[in-house]
Amino acid sequence: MHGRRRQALREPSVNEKEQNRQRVEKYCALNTSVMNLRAQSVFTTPALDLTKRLLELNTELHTVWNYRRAILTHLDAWQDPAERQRVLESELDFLFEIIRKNVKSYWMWNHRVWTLNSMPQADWRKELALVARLLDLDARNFHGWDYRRFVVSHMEDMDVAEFAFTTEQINRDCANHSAWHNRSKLLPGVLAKSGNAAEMLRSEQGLVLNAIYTDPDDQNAWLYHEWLVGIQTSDEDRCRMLRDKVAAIRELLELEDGDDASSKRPLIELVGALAAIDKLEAVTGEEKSECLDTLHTLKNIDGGHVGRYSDMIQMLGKRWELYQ
Amino acid sequence: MLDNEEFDAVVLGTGLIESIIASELAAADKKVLHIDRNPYYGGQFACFTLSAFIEWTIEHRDKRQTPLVDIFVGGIDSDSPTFSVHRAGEPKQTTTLSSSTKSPPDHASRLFDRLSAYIADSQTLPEHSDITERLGRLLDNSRKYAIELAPKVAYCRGELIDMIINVGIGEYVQFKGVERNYIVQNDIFERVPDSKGDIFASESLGLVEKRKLMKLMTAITDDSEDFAQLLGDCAEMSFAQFLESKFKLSGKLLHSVIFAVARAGSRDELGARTGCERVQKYAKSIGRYGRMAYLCAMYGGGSEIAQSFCRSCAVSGGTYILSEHVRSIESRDGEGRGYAVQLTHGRVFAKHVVLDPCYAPDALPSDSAISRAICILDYPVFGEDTTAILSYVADAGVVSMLYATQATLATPNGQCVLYAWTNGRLSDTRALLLRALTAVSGLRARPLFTALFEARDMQPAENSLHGLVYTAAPDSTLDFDSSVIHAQQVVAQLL
Repeated sequence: MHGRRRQALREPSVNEKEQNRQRVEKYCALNTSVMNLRAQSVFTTPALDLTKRLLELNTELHTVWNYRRAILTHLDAWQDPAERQRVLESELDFLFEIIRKNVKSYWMWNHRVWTLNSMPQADWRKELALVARLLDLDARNFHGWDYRRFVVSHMEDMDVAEFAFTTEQINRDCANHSAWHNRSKLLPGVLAKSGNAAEMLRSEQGLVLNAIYTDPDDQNAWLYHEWLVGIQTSDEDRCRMLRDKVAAIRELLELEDGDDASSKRPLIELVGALAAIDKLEAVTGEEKSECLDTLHTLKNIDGGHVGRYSDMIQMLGKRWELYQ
Repeated sequence: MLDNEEFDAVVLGTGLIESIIASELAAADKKVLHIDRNPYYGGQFACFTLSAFIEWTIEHRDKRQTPLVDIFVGGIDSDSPTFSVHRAGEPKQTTTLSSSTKSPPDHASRLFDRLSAYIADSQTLPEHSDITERLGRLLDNSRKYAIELAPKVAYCRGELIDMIINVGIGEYVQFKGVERNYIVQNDIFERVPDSKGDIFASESLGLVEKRKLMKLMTAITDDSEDFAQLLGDCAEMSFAQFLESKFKLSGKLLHSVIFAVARAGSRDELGARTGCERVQKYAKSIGRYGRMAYLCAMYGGGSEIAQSFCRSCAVSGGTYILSEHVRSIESRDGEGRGYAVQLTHGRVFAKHVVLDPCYAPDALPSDSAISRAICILDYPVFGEDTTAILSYVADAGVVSMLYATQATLATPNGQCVLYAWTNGRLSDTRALLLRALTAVSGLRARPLFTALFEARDMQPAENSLHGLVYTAAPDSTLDFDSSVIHAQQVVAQLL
């Protein structure tokens, strides 16, 4: 989970070593029996139980998950819809138990998706509530967000509600990349549905600006803005947005002290924005000097990327025919 | 009963400070006798049901410390209270005005009868019956109120919480987070952000203000070498000057930081270093238990926590007696032999005597005081499930306020209580307190019951017995830490 300290490793005691050895022995024995049964294509309930015990110990055994799925589909209960529902519901319960051990297991999430897809009647609302709880605990878990998108795709009319959910998450923590990313997935749909796309875009810009002023170092807002510019349909709109961005950065820079490290990112973005505008329509002479001056400042305060800034100065200088 | 028994320490008064001292002494294997003259624990931090609060008004308050209590039943628009309780226990009239004639007089109506003796002569009877009805209705729910004499909250990371955890009494008290912090100026309410998320989501801060605030919070909490250098250079400045010149704060943002976060009593009260320390303490508290800097206890913080320390003291062998009065304290003959304490029910000897100054018969009230107001409203203006602190900032002074509801079991459902307090004598601050209460109750809620009183600082007499240890009264800070630090200093002295 994010935000947790790493525990320092320590040498296990003799007792612990012995316990570990016994655990490993049991595990290997179990693994062997399950693999044997699989090799013999045994699709019985006892075999199912064995796979359950093994997966409880290790959720990463994708072969065993595959085997488990094979067993389930071969059971007599599979043929009857009501029975299949019951079996798969208890499958969900099993998954819920082991989710606590390892939230980030791809195979476990995959199995959950398979279970829901195979169920005659999946309860999507319940799944949404479940993933909401997970995201409460760890708002940046991408398994959770991916799964949320999967669940929402099976529900109707969720765009606006989901959009509001991302707003809530961003308000709580504007550095939550998953929330911004999800928002970008939903925005086109929400824009299409709303009566006033221009208004919405302005408020999106406002949200970005808010994040930039709160934490200029965090890249999420900058990236989202770049994407917003990208989805514009006309060069005119793009230029307007970029010019707004430039104006905002200028204001922001007035607040910072020149040698404050946190003003590095806005300077880079300023240069990028001016260069991008220049590709679409001509920039003024003043803007050109502003751009080059900023690059010189960056060379001074960001020694690690001097080469890049020098390259940009050269390239832009050539483009603008400022140096021979 | 107490026949010349020997104790290491006799502690008089079960307020929070005395209770911490008693508990620490007992934990250090000292034999402690802890006494309170009231039939309840808590001393100056006590917490009451509504009828018990009225009982305190009439009976238990220290008349030198609190010479009068003004009670308003209903609105506080007029400046004249419904009752002005001066001399306790001496009713002006003997006629009773209770409206309950059917049932035998219960405690509430008996109480009401005693209080009704203080109604101003000028009021006529029909108004009386209106008052009796209102008061009767309030008293019907008396048990659902938890009214504190000295309300305070606890920093999530501070001396009190740390002490509660170390002593192991954390299980005895339940806390709820103080979700909101407001600054009120010119009748405008601004919510003070409690975290980066709050700053981001705030709709009242402009972009530039957000940036300035984030820069300030980051600088203060990161506490880098550069910042230490900056602070060193500005050691002579006031906190306000420091914020203005180095962080370009101004207007409502400046005031929010000075009053609502650093909790100054006036604009230039704090020096730069103290101000930064206060902001750091606030910022470090946020996130420990949730998105808030303070915790508010259920059933009245000071009282519950004091009782928890008393419990801890008793477990370590301390002896407790309530409703016990001290007749005299005398020095025992010879050097360092301690004191002889004469109680109503016997005499004991003690090496040390620690007392709330109210227990000194010759103590005198000084001119410094804290004026307090308690206002019960008929509608929870910030919501049923919220606890909030406010700073009411006016030219006349700064009023600290605490808003509590059934969420901390302070009032019945559908009501709330507003505490307001400020330094100064009531005669000087009365108007300010009433304005603060009115501003916060606003148009949506009407006051049901309001009490105004002052707690004057009690000083032991010049010629008082040498070596007695006097504890401080609850001060006007919002939190308990100063009381804890004071108690710990006393303990260090004694051990």
